[in-house]
Amino acid sequence: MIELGIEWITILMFGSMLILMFLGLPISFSTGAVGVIFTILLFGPGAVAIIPTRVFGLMNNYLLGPIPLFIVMACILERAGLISDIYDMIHQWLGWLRGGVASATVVACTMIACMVGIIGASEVTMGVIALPEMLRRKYDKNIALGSILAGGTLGILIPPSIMLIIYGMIDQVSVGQLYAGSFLPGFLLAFIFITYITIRAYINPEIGPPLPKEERASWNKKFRLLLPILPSAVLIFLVLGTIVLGVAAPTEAAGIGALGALVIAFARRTLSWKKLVSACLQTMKTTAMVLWIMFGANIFVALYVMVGGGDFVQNLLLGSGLSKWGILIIMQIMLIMLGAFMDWVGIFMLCIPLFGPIIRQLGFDPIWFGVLVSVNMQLSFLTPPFGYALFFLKGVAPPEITTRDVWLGAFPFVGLQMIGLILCMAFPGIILYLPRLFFG
Amino acid sequence: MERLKKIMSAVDKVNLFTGHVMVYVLLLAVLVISFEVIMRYLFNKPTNWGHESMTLLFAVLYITLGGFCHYYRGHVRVDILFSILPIRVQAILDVFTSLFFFLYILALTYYCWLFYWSSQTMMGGGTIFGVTVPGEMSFTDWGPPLYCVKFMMPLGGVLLLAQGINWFIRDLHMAVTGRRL
Repeated sequence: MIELGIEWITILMFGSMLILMFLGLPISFSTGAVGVIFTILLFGPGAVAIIPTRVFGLMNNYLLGPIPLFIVMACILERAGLISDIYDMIHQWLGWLRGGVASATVVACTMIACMVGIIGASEVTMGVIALPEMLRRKYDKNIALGSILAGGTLGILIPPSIMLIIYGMIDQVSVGQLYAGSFLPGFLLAFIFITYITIRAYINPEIGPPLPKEERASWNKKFRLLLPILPSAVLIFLVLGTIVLGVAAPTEAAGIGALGALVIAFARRTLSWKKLVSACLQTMKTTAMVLWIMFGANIFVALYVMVGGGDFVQNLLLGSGLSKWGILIIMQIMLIMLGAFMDWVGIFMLCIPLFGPIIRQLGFDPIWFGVLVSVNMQLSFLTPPFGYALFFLKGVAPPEITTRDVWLGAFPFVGLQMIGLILCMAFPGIILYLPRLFFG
Repeated sequence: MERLKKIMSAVDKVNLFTGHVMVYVLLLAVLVISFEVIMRYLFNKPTNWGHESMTLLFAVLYITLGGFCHYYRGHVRVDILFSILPIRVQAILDVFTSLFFFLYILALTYYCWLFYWSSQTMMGGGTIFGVTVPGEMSFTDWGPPLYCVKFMMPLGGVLLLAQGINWFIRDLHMAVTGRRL
């Protein structure tokens, strides 16, 4: 047992965690290992006995139910072919626009984002369907890649979002309000992306030709393309509606969502038992990854808070002499920087317990901050070196697309997301309008 | 060597099998929570077990799947530095960092075992091979046994540990010989 000042504990704990991470130890194990080692160093081996209680508290948490439920819903709908249906439909509806195929991709991603809570499904499926299509039509590579990358990340922000479920659990705020708050920022971002694509395509028609006249569908066909999507749209409307209006708990709504997805998929006769098992296995890989990061990071941060880390960070930020907006901006910059190197689950588990109390003390609205942080974290999917979206797309892109192409494609959209983030910060109404409307 | 390979592939199979068992747990949990919601909101007859059984099913799922996820190397890592290194150097780094992995998971498994055992011997339960079991029950109206869920914690730890040893042997082989095992 060693006596150490909190400054040294901070440096040593975060330092050793970062070193382990950079050496390639998974985030879940780096945080957990450092947590266990410092528990032993600071309190002796007997104190490790508290860790199972914390792990059990997370495992046995009703509020985390929506994580597997929403993920399995998304995986089932994806395996049943819903995502490609949505793409086909939007493609015909928006194809006449200049840069229309890229804009259609963003709109399709936005619609898919309303049905899934993660980014993998739309990123991969769009990479398989929309990317070759755009390349075939001689779309500019950057626009083609960027629209998929940026559109796909909306999945993590727009409800049903796994991110906001976890935020709600950590900061103990209502998930319904967070969901209500994240619709408008999500749509705003999609709008910014489409505006950018359209402006670029009107300045230089070469980079995004519209669909040729002979390939455009008749109105009759356009409406027929809507039909296969209708049942899922009704389902999602019910699921999100009940959560946002506070009728049902998110877990209950997510359960019905998963069951509904099963029913729809079987009714469409596109889901075999084999596909269902593969959807479930995919769900479990993602769920286990998220939960084990939560276990490890919880062990780490619970220890850090116990030795006085929360007060230390609070005094550091509040005593810095900055205004409350200054502190907020510092937090956002810290999150962007962390996001470039780390997974968002880890960042949430480490930062939100520390930032949450400060935000309340500064008099900001916790719901507003929660959605703002999520918009910020959405950036982390696009910022190299550690950007999930980049890996996902590179994984399914044709071989002539290099990693450099993918990074370059993401670049302008990172800037656009920054604009979105700043708008949400400057005009809190964008986030708070809907929660105030629904919850008063 | 052949024997070692057999043991290693057995470990892989056990974790894959766990994954396939959990498919049914996941689907069961979906059915349980949907049933609860339908009873509650359509028939106004909420059950006293729906929410808790779903939560416990998921608890089992989360903790036992650590090894399954590790089989695919699915635990996400920061690979800025890592991915640009030659495979052999990656293996050397993995061998080194796995010491921390083992420390964490060993400590977790051992203390989870104590945690489970104290739950098993709570409320006048205990002695396994001479039978007379029951231990800790949940304090809810329904009151399901908690000790069997807590037993999954050391079990999940062992599954992850075994998969970690598998990867450790493979990485060590790669680090020493430069070939895949």
